[in-house]
Amino acid sequence: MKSYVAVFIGGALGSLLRYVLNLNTDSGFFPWATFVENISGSLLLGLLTGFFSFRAKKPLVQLCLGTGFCGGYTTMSAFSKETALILQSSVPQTGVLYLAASLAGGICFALLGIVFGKRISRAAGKEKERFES
Amino acid sequence: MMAAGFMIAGGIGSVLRFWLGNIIMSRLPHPRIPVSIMLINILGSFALGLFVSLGIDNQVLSIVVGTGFFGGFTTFSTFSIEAVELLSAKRLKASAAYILLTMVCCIGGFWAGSIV
Repeated sequence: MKSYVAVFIGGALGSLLRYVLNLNTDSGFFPWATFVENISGSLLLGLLTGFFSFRAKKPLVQLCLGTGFCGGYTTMSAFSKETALILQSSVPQTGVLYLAASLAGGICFALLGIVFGKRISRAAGKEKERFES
Repeated sequence: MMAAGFMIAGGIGSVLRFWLGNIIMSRLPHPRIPVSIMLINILGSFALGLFVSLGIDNQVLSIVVGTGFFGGFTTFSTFSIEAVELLSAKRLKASAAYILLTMVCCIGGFWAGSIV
């Protein structure tokens, strides 16, 4: 039950951030809002994945931030809708660009996040050791 | 008002994703590609297509359900992480299959849902 509450809280907050970004982003010919959300969410989930790969698991925190927040903040359904609609529009090449940029950006930023998350985790661990000795 | 509805819809979508993901993972404990999130993303994209094809006039409802709920239910971040994990494990065929299947079936899924 606790895990469902954790996912709900994270998902609601992630969705709120997505809502605010959607409102304040002008997505003229390119769906910038979804693009920025998906790329930055991939970076954040990468950081979390890297950070927790080296330390004691905190299941509720991870569920709230990872499954909840990052999952609620990023979206595949809006991405699919936008890509499908642009591909059928008069500028299908923009759809191809959007697809390629989201895919490449998501994967690169997720990788970057994992690498830096591990570094932060190690650095924080060393700092703690020094402090305790 | 709209923001509150969006939050709740996104939270419910996220909980449903978590619940359904656990069920799929318990049925298919060791898949060669991460089918759990893939199936959820395809289902969510298809269902959004269906929802859009209903042509609901109420703007609040269409944003809260269409963008809030389905956005919370589907995820791009987990997709990116799983793709990176397959690539890092040098499982090239599996990563290519995962990425291609997700992209084609999600975009095609939305399109199929919207013309049903």
